[in-house]
Amino acid sequence: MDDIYIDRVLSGDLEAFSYFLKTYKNMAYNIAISIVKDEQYAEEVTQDAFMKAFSGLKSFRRTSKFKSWFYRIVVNESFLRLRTLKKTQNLVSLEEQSDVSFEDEFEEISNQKISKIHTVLSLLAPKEGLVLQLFYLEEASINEITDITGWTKANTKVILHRARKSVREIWKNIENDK
Amino acid sequence: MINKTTKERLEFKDDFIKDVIEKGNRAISNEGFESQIMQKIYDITAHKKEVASRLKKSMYFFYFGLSLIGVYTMITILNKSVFNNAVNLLSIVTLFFTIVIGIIVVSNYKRLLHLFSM
Repeated sequence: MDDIYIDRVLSGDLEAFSYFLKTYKNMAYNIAISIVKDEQYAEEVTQDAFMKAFSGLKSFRRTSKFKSWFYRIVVNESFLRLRTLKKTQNLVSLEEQSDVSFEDEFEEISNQKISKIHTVLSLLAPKEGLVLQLFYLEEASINEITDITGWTKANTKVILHRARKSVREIWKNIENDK
Repeated sequence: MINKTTKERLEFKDDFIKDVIEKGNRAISNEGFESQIMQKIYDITAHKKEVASRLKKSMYFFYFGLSLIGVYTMITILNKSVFNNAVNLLSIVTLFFTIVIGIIVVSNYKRLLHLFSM
């Protein structure tokens, strides 16, 4: 299906690109937010990734799936943004910032479990958040994850194990803090 | 028979984590997100088309100017070599540099046109 729309975009039908926006925007956003931990930045990263995908579409060689290629762009853009953020502001202050916003949400959102989940996800390391999104939400295989992230298979499995452990630990800590 | 992917999924099967990740799934709240990107795409495409057409125009003018210089020096060289038997060094140098500059600029034009083509 993706190939048909790629051909249409490359032949000049720009409207066909909205198919990719509709299909991948939320997953791209989830990947971005798992890394940058901020809604505003995640949206910007998603936009940038779509723009890069559009301008680089003619160089997409179709040796891998469009989805993997596009998610790789999202991941690269997210880590690039994270590096820029680390340079401009200390990561600690970023975590504080996101904590504050999630705490604010905590008060506003009636469903406490959802906000607790958001807190847990915001406290995960970027790589851990990313691998969980890809494996459990996108249901990507380990091979696909290695394609997207550029990590080795063994490294991916280690991060996945660590991420699951981290989620349980953070969850437990929040429960204990209550 | 269980394939490799299924085996991996079973290895990392975790209903609690899956539930956490699925419930933590977010959607872009900005309703104009798609239209903003599409607008950007239209703008970029229009800009690229404009640049490409100007580049082409400029390239044609360049070709024309360069061809004039080339043809003129060629005629001068031929004329002198047929009738005077003494070719002016300046004409040969001009022709040589016209060719060199032509090759460099044309390859630059090609690169730019490729960059701004859809």
